[in-house]
Amino acid sequence: MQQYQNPNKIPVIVRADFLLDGRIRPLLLRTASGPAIKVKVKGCCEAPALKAGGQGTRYTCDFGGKELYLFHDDTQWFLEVEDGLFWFVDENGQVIIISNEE
Amino acid sequence: MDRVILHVDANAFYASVECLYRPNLRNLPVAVAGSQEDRHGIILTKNQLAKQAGVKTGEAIWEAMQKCPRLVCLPPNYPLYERFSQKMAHILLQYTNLVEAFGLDESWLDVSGPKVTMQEGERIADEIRNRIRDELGITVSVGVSWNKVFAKLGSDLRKPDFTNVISRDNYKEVAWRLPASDLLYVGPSTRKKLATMRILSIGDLANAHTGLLDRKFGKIGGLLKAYALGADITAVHPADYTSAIKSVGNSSTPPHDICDFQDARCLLFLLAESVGARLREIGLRAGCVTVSARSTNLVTRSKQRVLPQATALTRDIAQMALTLMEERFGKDFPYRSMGVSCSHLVPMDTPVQLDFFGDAEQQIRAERLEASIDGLRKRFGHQIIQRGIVLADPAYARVNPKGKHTIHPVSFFVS
Repeated sequence: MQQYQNPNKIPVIVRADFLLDGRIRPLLLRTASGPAIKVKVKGCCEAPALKAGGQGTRYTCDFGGKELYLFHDDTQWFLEVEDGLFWFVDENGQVIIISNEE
Repeated sequence: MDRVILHVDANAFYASVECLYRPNLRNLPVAVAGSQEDRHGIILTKNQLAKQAGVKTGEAIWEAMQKCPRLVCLPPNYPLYERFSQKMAHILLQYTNLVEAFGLDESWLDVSGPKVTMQEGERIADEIRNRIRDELGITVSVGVSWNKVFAKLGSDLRKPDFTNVISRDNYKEVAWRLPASDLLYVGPSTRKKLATMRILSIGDLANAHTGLLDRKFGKIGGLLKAYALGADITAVHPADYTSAIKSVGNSSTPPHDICDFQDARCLLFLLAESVGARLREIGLRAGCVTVSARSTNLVTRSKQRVLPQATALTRDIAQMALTLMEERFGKDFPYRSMGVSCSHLVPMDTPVQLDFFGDAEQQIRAERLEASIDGLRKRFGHQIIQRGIVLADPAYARVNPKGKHTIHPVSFFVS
């Protein structure tokens, strides 16, 4: 079967703190060749990724006032986005676009 | 006060997990099926759309495709299903430690307590269903009753995503009207025997004469009647309970039919290696070997024999398996699959009565050799060292029965 690339799933590289009680707190994320973006976590829970496909710890993150879900599913981290891309304005006024790279 | 037992059953578990991970397939009929190339091409599970098209669990892929040409067949991903099963268990263990798994996708829970009524059990069941749906993205059906058998019946009543209560007030209207084949441990053979006695429903079984059932089925007859009456008293075992191992076995459907004795020798040696390795791993010796063979028309026969001395050596198990093979199955080739099983297990450190005319030193050398082989395989993988016999057929050279995945529900009759 042909490998299907879900446009709503953006794999990311994450730098995180592993806390003493076993929780994991993501600090920074980036796509394979994108800039590092600071992660502000508003909440987390176990949840399925119904659009991106998957299940794991879901971090509700704030990027420039917009909410986005970051998932930690087993060994993979990914963002769940609508229509293949997400953009926001960071604290320096720059427009940051996160998308699936070809 | 009655117990309050829940039976949680994930709906179309494998297919649900696959559709969760592949949103593009959710509106298509999907089935998880074994490999056709390896001759395991049967439907393991299907989603609701495939079920509506008439696809049945256990049928061949080609049969399913005839009924549903749009059917998407996916290979099984057992590590993923095991991970989901553990996540489900993690949720269930937050309600009680009396959680007994019955396979990857089913569990019993005993939530009995001084103030826990059937209504409270129903509330807990609804909460569990909602949590599993919201946290894991799959649905479960839950049966609530005062015994395990009726709780399992309840979870099958309505699907998907329902709670069904079978209580002392309604069990005659709900459970007794169901066909006898719905009852635990009533399979096709028992159903036919019951039908000859005009026992067609669970209610018929509950009202049947105990003496008649005993004469027809032996001690299981009384047990089936007790199940039908809701008189099952088996406990829900705690999550960390492990029952005593009574047998260790392996069977395999090889890439091609077993057409002659040479083929059978290869496969039986492979299976004996796997069984021997597993026995040594858990520190047990076996006193009895059973060989089973399934013909190409899916009829299974078996033969067993007690060994002169308990052993965990591959060569002893294989030798006995080959002897049984020659005596019982040597004339009815081809076979589709074969199995080797060892029972009458004793701990490895049990004193052994040596044979006065035997060679104890050779026995010790053989044990050391097989322990060395186990060590090599543990470090470098199964293929690092193989018996010469399996090199006669390249198809067997890549079969590793010990490494292959086997998931069997623990028997309901745990000691």
